[in-house]
Amino acid sequence: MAEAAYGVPVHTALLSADPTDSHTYDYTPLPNTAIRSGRAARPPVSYWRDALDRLLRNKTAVASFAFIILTALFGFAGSSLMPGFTKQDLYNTFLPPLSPGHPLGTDELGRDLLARLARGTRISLTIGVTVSVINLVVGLAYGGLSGYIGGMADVVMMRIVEIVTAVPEMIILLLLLTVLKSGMGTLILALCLTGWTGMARLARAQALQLRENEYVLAARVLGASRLWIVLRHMIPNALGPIMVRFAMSVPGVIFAESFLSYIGLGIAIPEASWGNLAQLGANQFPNHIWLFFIPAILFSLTMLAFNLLGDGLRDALDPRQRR
Amino acid sequence: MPGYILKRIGISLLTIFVITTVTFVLMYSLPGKPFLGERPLPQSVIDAANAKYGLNLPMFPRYLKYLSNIFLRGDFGQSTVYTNRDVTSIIKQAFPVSASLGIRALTFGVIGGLLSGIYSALRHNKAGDRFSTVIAILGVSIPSFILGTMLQYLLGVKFSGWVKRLFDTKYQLFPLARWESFRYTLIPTFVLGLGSLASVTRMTRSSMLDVVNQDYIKTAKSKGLSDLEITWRHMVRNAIAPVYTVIGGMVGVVVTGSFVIENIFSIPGLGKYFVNSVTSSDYPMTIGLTLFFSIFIVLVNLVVDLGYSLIDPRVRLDRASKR
Repeated sequence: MAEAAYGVPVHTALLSADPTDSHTYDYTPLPNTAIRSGRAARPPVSYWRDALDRLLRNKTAVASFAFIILTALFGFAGSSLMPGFTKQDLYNTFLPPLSPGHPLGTDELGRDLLARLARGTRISLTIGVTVSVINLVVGLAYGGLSGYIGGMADVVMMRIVEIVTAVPEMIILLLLLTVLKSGMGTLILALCLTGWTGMARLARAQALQLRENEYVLAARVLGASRLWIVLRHMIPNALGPIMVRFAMSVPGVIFAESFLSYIGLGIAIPEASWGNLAQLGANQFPNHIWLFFIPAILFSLTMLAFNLLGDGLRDALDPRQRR
Repeated sequence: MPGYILKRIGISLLTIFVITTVTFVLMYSLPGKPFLGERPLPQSVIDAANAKYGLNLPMFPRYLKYLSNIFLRGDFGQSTVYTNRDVTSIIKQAFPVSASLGIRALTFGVIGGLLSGIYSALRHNKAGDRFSTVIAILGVSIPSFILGTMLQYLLGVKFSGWVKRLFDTKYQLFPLARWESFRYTLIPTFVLGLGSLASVTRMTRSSMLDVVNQDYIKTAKSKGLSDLEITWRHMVRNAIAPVYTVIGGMVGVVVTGSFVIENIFSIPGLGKYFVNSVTSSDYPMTIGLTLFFSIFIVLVNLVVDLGYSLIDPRVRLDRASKR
């Protein structure tokens, strides 16, 4: 975009032929009173306020967010209201959906699908969010430290990240799960061991990029302490990309968990998760196909909602990237 | 240039070394002995195997034996489930099947993604663009194992059944399983390639939109070149380079995806053997295949990276200065 050289506003619309760039510039001089009082003509809008406005104007992102909240409510409130997700009833196996007492039907052991689906939603979401939070903290600490120290330590730390990412996550996960005893704790541990590298890379890149900025230099010149610069300048400016990465990481973790559960290595039955629900349903293939389709559709829609929300967040936090 | 290549090769070798060492340590620390199957083996067989893999040796000589078996003799160990079969012979038999599936999926994903990304960018914000963006976000969001089972049911059972009834034949249009002729490959290829198609579409689209506003496009237009010529010679050729970078990563995604797709469609590929070895606790097989997959992927990424530095010299400088 054009620079305003010597304080003379340059009409950018003349220079860029981009038809989407339809800013109109107001060349009316400010009233003298406004200049003398030192106040801007329009109340200042903070970056976060601005980003929130942009996000709320994005209907897809808002709908996705609402969907995620509803799914989470269904998972957490639903599984508390319907605790009998392991209760078997061998007289009533394979009831179709809309049966009395079982709105979504029952599986091959007569367990209620609605209760299992709620429980599975709760487990999958819990794992997705827990692992993402741990990865966020570990990644920020590791990447931030690496970028902050620099030098040889940085080189070694980044080599380690490179080696971990050189092999696809799933191969490491499968290897870990053959060695470790299965269970939810193990699964979370395994997902954390492979998942922190993305955030570490991002945090390092942000640290390296932000510390070169003029406002950091200005703060240093003015005598600000390192801690103040990190807390007041670097973290708030890095927050946008980190939030986007976090939102995108949740569906990634849920995908890995359900992939493992689908091939029988993640969450073990009778505990429920989206992956093993879909797998149990697929085992009944091609009869009783609703046992597969119902969890599969809820799972896919939630993944879609997370991705759309992530896209919306990126557009809102970094409008220059908007397409 | 030679510096960059040497460095890149060095990192790959280091990665392979770390992976072999880690797998060795895991193997060494696993409890039990590898040849305690359900059917007891004759002592002479056990002695021979112990000698071959150095199982009675102390840790360090055993490690050297392990390295020489893998890198000098190409021997990845002995399966404990498939008796009389070593991992290398299984790789020789099953890898071509997986490679065929993977190459088909990648070809479909890359070519389809490039075309739909270019189309999308040329029709920016029109209906065609919307459509291909929706396909791309669905392809990123729906897990391949869910889509695979869905299509197996909808196309393999329902649609093919309908075709059978309509024409009163026994011809199965979309077979449910196995890997025999071209029509057996259609659904697995589509499912495995859709994720790649989606990410290539998104990448191509955004890279094309970056190029569209460049000055040289305006120059080309004012020279009076035809639209077709501008699109192919000036836009696509410049937009395609960044897309190349994601191809290395996609090989990993396709390999990972094949683990579950081969299981769903009963394709006798390496992924199926890998997952079966994990679920049946065939440790030597799991570790042998982990090593094989890891080395394969590290080498593919090396080739892709070196290829990219030949195509686009800017990358070399850029990466060299970052590292």
